[in-house]
Amino acid sequence: MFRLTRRLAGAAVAAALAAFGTMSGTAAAQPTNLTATPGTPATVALPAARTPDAVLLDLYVRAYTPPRRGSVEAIVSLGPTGSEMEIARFAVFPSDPFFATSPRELRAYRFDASAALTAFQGRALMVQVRLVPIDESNSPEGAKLTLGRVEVNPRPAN
Amino acid sequence: MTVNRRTLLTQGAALAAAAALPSEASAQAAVLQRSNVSSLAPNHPILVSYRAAITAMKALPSSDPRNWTRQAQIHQNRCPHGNWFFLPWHRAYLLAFERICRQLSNNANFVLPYWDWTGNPQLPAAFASQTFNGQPNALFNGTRSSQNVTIPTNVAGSQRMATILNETTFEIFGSSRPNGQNNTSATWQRAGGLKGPFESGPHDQVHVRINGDMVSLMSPLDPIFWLHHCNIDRVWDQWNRMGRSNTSNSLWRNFAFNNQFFVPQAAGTTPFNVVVSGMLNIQALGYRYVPPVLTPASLLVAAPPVDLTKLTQVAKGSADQVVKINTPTSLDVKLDAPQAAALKKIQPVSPPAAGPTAAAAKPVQASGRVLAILRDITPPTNGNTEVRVFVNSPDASPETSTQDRHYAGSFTFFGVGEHAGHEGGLSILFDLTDTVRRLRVTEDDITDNIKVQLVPVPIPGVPSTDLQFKVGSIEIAII
Repeated sequence: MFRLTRRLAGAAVAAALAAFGTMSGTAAAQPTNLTATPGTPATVALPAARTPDAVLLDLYVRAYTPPRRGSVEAIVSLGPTGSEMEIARFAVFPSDPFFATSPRELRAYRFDASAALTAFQGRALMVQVRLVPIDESNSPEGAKLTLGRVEVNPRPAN
Repeated sequence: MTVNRRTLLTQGAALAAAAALPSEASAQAAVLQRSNVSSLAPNHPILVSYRAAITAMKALPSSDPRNWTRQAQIHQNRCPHGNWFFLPWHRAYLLAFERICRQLSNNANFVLPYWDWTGNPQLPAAFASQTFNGQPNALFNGTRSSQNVTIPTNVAGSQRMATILNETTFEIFGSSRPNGQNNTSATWQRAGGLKGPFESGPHDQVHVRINGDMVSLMSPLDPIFWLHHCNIDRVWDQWNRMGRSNTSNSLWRNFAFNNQFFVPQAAGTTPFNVVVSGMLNIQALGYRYVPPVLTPASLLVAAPPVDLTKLTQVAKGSADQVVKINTPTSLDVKLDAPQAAALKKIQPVSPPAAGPTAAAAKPVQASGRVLAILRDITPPTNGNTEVRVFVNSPDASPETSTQDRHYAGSFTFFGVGEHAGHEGGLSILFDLTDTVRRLRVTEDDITDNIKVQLVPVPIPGVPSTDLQFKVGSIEIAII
């Protein structure tokens, strides 16, 4: 965990990448973009060296701004660059704007990514989060989602 | 593959468990059944009572905890989201609200209906109309994005729900513990954990797609909120019935929700304080759900067909039946003497006890199982259908209620394409124990002749014109 403020946005990116390095045992981070807007996905690199039991993808969302009209959903994809496969869709609820000012305020989402992680074992992967309108008749303009951290983790015991 | 009794039981465990609990308590008057709203006409007493309760709650002063806005504020100020208290807290919230509705509607049998957005993805019609009988409709909410909202299959369709239900770990299915929780202090109730696919998927997406009041923490201002969460609660119950275990962690089980909910008492209200462990047996809480429409994932038996030779008794019945949409088809099985004797050992449900309380209602232990195996099914080539299964009904038809005591459950053909081409065809295993035990205490007791009646009905919005499928044969296994 690391503190995230507007002033420290750049540091947040570095911290997020550092977290990956710590997690995977490698530090070969790729260029990333932690903020998704309509038409521009958030992208986070996942190094090739991963433990085989790490099958859950955990996304920590730092900030969200809903569109000015209508609503959006986030499509989460994972795979080699250009060959990402969709693993989940989610919508932010409650949909009020929020900005986490401490690690405890990050909103975390957990997805089973075992299919993608198994299919692409041993390869560097890209996590991509795209914002798309739920209602095509409304423009998603104004929507923004910023990631704080991305992890892959093993399944917890029941 | 040879499958013995043990294996068959394992394969059928999900649906056996799913079917076992509901009607075991069906004869106990204090356990009320929450119904699918799609089965209720707009003037059904449940919806009439719900409207009356909402109207009464809105008329109460804001000083009264039963006031409509006050109820929504409980959610705004207390609801946990994104952690493992999400499911039990909302169960308690629904219970308290349901009791308020009973009091204010003067309907002691009121139960919240649920909106099954998988089987009926469109916003229920009773909630979409501005008026009812010429008066403002209390179920209507004008802030929604549309009154024709339809939840897409990639959010809550059968395959999506099958994936969610397939999760075996509670802290993924029901969201995780708050990060760092090390005691049961109330401060952890809204602390962040990891939101699992059930909460972030169907739960959140339905909120957001309806929009308006539903996208905020004041979402209970929209009457559909309560039916949405009733369905969330039903899916949790279904997950448990499939043999999935809630976490045994005491940080979850011993957690208390105190001074958050209120229930009627005499002329006023009293706090409804609960502990998570007290929220886990819904029959003890006084309600249950109709048997679920089972997904193919829980019904399909891998080909080649199960070898039933090691089962106690197996009877074979009519073969090569073509079943058409909206047309009841009976598959008859005549039992011989040993088979009838085995069937006779299936115990009936307990008769209603005199004045049972909800807390005293306990499920009756099953003594055996009656399974129907539909073999060599050729699925429909066009569209899909909900196939309602009845047992020994004198008049099963598309109009027969799923509340009918002969109703055993339903299945659909969603997702069968990947299975249909296997050697040996498609087989479906269906548990009739629940229904047989229920019929045992009535004049419809089954002795040596079992009629499994299939009634395919259209699924709203899904093509079914001229739909038909074929059943190669049927077997009844008594184990």
